[in-house]
Amino acid sequence: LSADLSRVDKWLYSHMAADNIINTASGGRIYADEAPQGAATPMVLYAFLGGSDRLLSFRGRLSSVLYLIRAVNEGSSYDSILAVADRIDELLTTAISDQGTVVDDTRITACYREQPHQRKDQAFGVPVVYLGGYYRITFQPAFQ
Amino acid sequence: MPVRVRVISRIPQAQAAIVKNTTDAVRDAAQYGRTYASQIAPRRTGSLADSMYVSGPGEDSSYPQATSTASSDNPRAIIVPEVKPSEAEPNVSPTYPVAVYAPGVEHSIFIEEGTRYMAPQPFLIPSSEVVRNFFLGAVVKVADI
Repeated sequence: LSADLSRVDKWLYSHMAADNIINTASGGRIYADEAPQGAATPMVLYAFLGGSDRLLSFRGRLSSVLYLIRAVNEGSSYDSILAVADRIDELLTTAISDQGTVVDDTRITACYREQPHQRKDQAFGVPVVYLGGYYRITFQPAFQ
Repeated sequence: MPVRVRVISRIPQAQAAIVKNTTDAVRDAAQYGRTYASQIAPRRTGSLADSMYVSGPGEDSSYPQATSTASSDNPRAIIVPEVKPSEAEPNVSPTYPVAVYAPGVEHSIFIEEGTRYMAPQPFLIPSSEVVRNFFLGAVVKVADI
């Protein structure tokens, strides 16, 4: 199960891509880590930043990881990505049932925002805005 | 046969130990985080890794030395002002030990969080995950005398 982060990536992507609001507002541009050079905006980016494991037994392991998930657009106003950022938060924080969500052999047990994220910078004189959050995601092996 | 029981209060010693050990735990955790982040930070000129500093507890600070080294590594690196504990945690009484570990160069944010066309190469978040466990391990011993 060393590739359990790939299952989390898969869950994030499929969940956001299946949402009409996010998919339409981002033009389907939902990327892990980084967008291809020259990709149009707005877009949604998600990236693993770090995490830790808690070993409960020989096969049992509870992992707790942090993802930066955000909407991105060119321009100096956050208004253009408010709706997408709101929708990402609503979608991800209500997605997990009490039993968790199983992706392949990984059970995702929680997803909640730990910190808000808002950033504005420039690339070659073009302002870029980012809006989203740092999301804590916990998961464990899904035993059959 | 009479039995005499003598009760000795060591509460004053425990109070003193809590203050000293908590301050040590905060300092050690910040140093550990700084070292960890510095070791896993991406290196090209070394300015990012070398700019990592600890400010606090109290007036202790490695900011001047760290930013000086970072400037030597890369003269084009933009140095950002020191984040002092009182600025990071303005609502915490100055009598409580607080320490900050942080990078002293401006481009650290782009490395840590990435940009739209550049993937993050996080070094602070992974270190904070480790520091949390380090600190929790240290803080359970603060009342030891």
